[in-house]
Amino acid sequence: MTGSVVLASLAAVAEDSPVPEDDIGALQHYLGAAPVQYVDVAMARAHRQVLKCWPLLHEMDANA
Amino acid sequence: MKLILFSGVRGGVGTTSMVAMLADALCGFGQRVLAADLNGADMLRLHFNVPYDDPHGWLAAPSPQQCLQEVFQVTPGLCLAPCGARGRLPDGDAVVAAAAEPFWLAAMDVLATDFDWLVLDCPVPRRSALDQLRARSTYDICVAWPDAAAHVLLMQQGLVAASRLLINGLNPAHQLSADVALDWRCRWDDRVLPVWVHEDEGLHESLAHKTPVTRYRRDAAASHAARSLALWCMAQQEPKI
Repeated sequence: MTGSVVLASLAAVAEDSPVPEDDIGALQHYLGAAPVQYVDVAMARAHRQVLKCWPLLHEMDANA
Repeated sequence: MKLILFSGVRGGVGTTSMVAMLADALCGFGQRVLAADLNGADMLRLHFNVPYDDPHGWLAAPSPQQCLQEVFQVTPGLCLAPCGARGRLPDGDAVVAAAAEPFWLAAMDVLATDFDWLVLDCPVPRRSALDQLRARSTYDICVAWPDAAAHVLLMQQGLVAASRLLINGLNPAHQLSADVALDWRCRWDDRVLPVWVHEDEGLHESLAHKTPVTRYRRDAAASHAARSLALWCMAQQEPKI
């Protein structure tokens, strides 16, 4: 299946979906998959930098 | 009638200003709103041009069923229930803490036909539990300024069950402010409200002018945030925690 066909199919699913703006939900619906554990990799990486930068935040995180 | 509870992670984080601007923004969208002050300091009235020494307030109402006797109409659709002079006495905080929950639980039944929203400005959770009101609330919002002290307090106390975090005073140009906000987003995910209120001098000036920022400077960033938050509140079917 080409990329454009997949995108077209997803768009069709999204129109039928109760939450059409939810792209993760639309993908999950299209694939018939179990709930997707979405990980924002960029944010997780930025968070690790934040904890490195600020000792207090690092300490609180370690004790959480 | 939907109930919104606002409380700060500590004092001085702008909780009362958030109540005033959200109440006014909801009214601007045609909602019928009653904003009430559950703090002995009784500051909310000052955001709505009620005289500093005015004695009226819900603490003076003969009963919860007669609370409308002590309510000010700010503008059509927006009413205010100050705490009242008794709350400003030296032992006012204790008086208010003891009276607030039973009073407003009883009053809600009476008010339901007159208002779409009841917005309560509550003390910090450590000073007053208000558990039954929290259980009845549609949204329980904790206001926090993204700094190191607020971070420690939030990590110590945790977010009260089912409450959401409203970030106020964000300054993306300040590294710590942006980083603390990012940490909260990572930690509490969708319990952090999608509307962030940026640091805005207009908020401070609006209190000095005795009016909500949404009226004092309609185009201020905080006013836009207030309208976004009001729309978000109106758009939610049921809170998802």
